[in-house]
Amino acid sequence: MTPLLQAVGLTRRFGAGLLARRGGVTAVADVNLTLMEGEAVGIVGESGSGKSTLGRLLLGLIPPSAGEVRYRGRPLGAALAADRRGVRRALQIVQQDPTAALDPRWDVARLVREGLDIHGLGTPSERAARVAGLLADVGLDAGFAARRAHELSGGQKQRVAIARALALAPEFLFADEPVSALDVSVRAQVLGLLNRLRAARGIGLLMVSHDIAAVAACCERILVMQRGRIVEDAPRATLLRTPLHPHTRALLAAVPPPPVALLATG
Amino acid sequence: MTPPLLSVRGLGVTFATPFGPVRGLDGADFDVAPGEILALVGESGSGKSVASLAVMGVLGPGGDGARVQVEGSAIWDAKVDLLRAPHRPGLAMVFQEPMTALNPVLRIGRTIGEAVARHDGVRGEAVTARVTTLLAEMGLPDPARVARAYPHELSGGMRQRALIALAMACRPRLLIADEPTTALDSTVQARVLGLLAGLRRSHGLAMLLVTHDFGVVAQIADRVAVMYGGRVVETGPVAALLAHPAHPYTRALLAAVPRLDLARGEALPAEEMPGTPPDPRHPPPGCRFHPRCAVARPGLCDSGPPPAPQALGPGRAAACHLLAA
Ligand SMILES: Nc1ncnc2c1ncn2[C@@H]1O[C@H](COP(=O)(O)OP(=O)(O)OP(=O)(O)O)[C@@H](O)[C@H]1O
Ligand SMILES: Nc1ncnc2c1ncn2[C@@H]1O[C@H](COP(=O)(O)OP(=O)(O)OP(=O)(O)O)[C@@H](O)[C@H]1O
Ligand SMILES: [Mg+2]
Ligand SMILES: [Mg+2]
Repeated sequence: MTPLLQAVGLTRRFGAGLLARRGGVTAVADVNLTLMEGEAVGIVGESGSGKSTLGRLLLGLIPPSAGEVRYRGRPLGAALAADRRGVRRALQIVQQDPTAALDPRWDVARLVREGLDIHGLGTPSERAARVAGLLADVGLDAGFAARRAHELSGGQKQRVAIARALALAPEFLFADEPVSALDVSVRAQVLGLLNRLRAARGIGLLMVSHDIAAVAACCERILVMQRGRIVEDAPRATLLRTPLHPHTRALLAAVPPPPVALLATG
Repeated sequence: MTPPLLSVRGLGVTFATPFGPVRGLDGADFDVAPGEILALVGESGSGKSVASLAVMGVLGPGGDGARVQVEGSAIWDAKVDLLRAPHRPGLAMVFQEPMTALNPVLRIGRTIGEAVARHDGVRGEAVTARVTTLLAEMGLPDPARVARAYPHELSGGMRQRALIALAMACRPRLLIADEPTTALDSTVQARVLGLLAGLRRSHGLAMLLVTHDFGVVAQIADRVAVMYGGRVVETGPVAALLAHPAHPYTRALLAAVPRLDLARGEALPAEEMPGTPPDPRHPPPGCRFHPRCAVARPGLCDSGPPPAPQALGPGRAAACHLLAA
């Protein structure tokens, strides 16, 4: 396995510079991280600890204030300059707030197909077939293809956002709370889908979730963030069994216990 | 029995779309007693948000003979097409999608401050102080910074807490909260739930809580209503319903809950429910769950709609052909 993405001293500040008198925020502070090809890594941690910002930096969606991101060993900026489309296609994101990411006026088929259209992949009928397959993968009936984004429930939007990100068969997916708006049955289905995609296509995954069980269901390695820093980075079993950092322990201790029936049947 | 604070009967909502009518909610019934927390759970697209919005009066009423009453007086019924009052005192809502509920060009402190001024009739310093308190109660480490920020400058969980603070600024008697803790990490979630439980104890705050998280349900709710395909299919007190789910859909839903085994250091595999939720434009005939139901009986479950909910013990009821047979 080769490193796919690397962060070196990665730092991002907001509201500094001109607005410094209002006090800036260091959202990501000196993060060093290597993500291997096909690796599935989860991020948990405090709200506001910089998880979304770290993902957006790794994808080159926002520039760092200091440090750098490397994609396949070369600076991400240079890789983007050489082949913007190729890199954009390889690195996909499912955003935390699906409403903001989906144009409400478009129908679902167009939203999912957009990337295929932009990259000119396949014939129109191949694209239509691909869209139908993706909708089925995320558990949406074919009837949804003609619906507009604003006519969907929260969980339906989130599944459209996932189908959209997967349409381009990316190498790497940054999934920011991909299952938080999903009910448990669809959640199990989407986590299963992510696992199957990884097994079949070797997609690398960086998944943020406040639901540690969801992260543990997909990721063999888990990072814990607090105040912009990675405070713990360990294989799943080690982290769950012997958490070292106090913040990791606090997060695990605060997970609500499973309801009674589950203890009885599980 | 104390009369319910909120009573909903036969609530239906139909959306007109270019592809024909979509029945988002198809005759839902539920009650919330004063100081009670009712959890609304169920499949994505089953109508939980539409039900919450309809109760708030954000959507116009629909359905034949639908009735929504707060403290015994109708806030609207099928005959009244308009809201009686634009600001319904005592009712506040936390919307599922923070970005659509917060004005993107206003600082958070301004949005919450306007609600404070309106409800408490105060101005100036008193408004600022109350805004800071509300934000601090949500466990936001730097409330002054959050108050100065625009919505896009906050993380997902910070926005969600700002929204809860906005709802609490109205000092509601009934809080309708649609997935209020989905973007919160477990420690912050525990804190926010603790705060809401405290308000229930001290001020008799009642809640209609829409959530996917059964851990949250077990922790804070008194009763549960399970929705599927626009209807309530099972209701009951939390402990009894979770221990002995009666409706096959409730059983399948509980089996899909992801679980952590800390001792073994892994997530236990959750069972994937087969099939997809019904498309509300073409609901399946008979019981809406029958195409995915493990115990459906051909000739019975696919023929007529299920009977009205059957009483199954104190406060419990479920609508299933098999329970009536
Ligand atoms: N565009 C922005 N302008 C100013 N500050 C920002 C901006 N984006 C993020 N921040 C700040 O950076 C910090 C980290 O935010 P980020 O969204 O990365 O957190 P997060 O870990 O994803 O949290 P959550 O779990 O709540 O989504 C927060 O303090 C946030 O207010
Ligand atoms: N404006 C609209 N126009 C057309 N259909 C709509 C509209 N809003 C909601 N619907 C449909 O009504 C049904 C119920 O939606 P609702 O948002 O209540 O689901 P939900 O139970 O809250 O789901 P989730 O858990 O995914 O948020 C869905 O099938 C949805 O697609
Ligand atoms: Mg985030
Ligand atoms: Mg909803």
